[in-house]
Amino acid sequence: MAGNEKVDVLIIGSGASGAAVAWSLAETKMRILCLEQGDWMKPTDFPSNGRDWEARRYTDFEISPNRRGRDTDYPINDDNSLMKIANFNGVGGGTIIYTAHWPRMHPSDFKVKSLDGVADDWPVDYWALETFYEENDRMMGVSGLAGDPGVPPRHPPMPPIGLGKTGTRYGQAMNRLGWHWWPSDSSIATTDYEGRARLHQSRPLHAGLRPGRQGQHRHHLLAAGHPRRRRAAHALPGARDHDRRERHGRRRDLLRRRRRRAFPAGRGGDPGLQRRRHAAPAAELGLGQVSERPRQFVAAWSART
Amino acid sequence: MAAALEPRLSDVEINDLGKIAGTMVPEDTALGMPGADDPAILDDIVKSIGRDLPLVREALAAIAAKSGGAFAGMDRGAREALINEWYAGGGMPAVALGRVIVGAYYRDDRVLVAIGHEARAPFPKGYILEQGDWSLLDAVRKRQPFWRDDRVTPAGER
Repeated sequence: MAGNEKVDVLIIGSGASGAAVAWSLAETKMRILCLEQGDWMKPTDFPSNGRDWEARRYTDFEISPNRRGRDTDYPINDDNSLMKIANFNGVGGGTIIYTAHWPRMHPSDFKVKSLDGVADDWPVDYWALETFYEENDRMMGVSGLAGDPGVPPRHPPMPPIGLGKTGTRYGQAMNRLGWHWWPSDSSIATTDYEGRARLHQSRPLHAGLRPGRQGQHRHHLLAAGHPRRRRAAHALPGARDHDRRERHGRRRDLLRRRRRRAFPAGRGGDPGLQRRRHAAPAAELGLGQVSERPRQFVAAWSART
Repeated sequence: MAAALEPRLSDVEINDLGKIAGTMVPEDTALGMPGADDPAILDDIVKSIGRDLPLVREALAAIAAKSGGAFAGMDRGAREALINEWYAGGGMPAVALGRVIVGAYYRDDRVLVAIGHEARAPFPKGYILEQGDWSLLDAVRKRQPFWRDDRVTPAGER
């Protein structure tokens, strides 16, 4: 495209929104330019290809550009914000690192003024968007479980990711506390879906996974006109603490009896639990105060059924 | 000041790091698992510190100060107690130290094999996740819907 060529639509960013808008307008034959401040990601560059995948979640695939420091990154001052920056400058944007979590806003989120007396209501409501939420779920290939009493009815096109040992333990703890829980919707193929192979490893995901589904979706949307590539989607073992617990599952009892770790004792010395509690202290997360909820959950998690 | 500008840990710092790592993750011969002070693992830790070097240095210095420079000569129980006490309030240096130690430890082939994992990258083979106990949701399903329906007035009218 020549430097001064006029376009009909200019889209800034090729992430979850930009790529979807670009795709939705492709058939209109308008001249569309999507600008992205990062480059295309090569599948071979993703951490899941190597043994150091976990460490790279805190280096070149760190969610904060302030630590990640790629050539495409620039510092962002979030010192005075409780919400710390999490982004990725590259084709696919935040979907490169977003772990495929796929929540919807609640109906009440659109009516904060009329319901709660704060800020302003949106000019649209959940019900006007519901059809598009459903369509987006279908296009992205969302897995989940219908029946959650905490949200309006929805219909994920694929079954949910398995609970695994971690999810089962989590559910037991939440039931013990009487707290609500439900498997999250995820933009991860748990079955073969519309020409795409299912994820070979369905686990909670974290930054640095080989996109396969989520980031690759956006790549495909931008390459409008290119056929969708059939590819096997793979994921990392998941959140470090979840993964640790999965790995230790077979020897957990023996480990507790025989291994003594000099991480803070806390609840029974479970290594996975230690790492979860101390991997992200409140100060690092920028939280001024931490409620009692996490401690209650930790206690429930540690209790034996 | 000069030491702080060094691009990698000194031999003395590496030695200290090994003592600390071996205390935090000791060897377990019964499980066939090396300690984090194993030469190969320690070498991997040192090579992996990267951008966490300043924080790791800060952690080493804090532990040295807390022990009066006598950490290596303390018995295991005393070393564990010291690290436990320091870790609780150690902030970002403690997080960084724990992360580099455990991150390197759990990619060692012997450790992975000992805990029943294959010593390989996640891709392309992936892993199988068990479905788990879905009946745990039975109690949750019985609850009445509790999301706020913005179409219903406080009086309960639509």
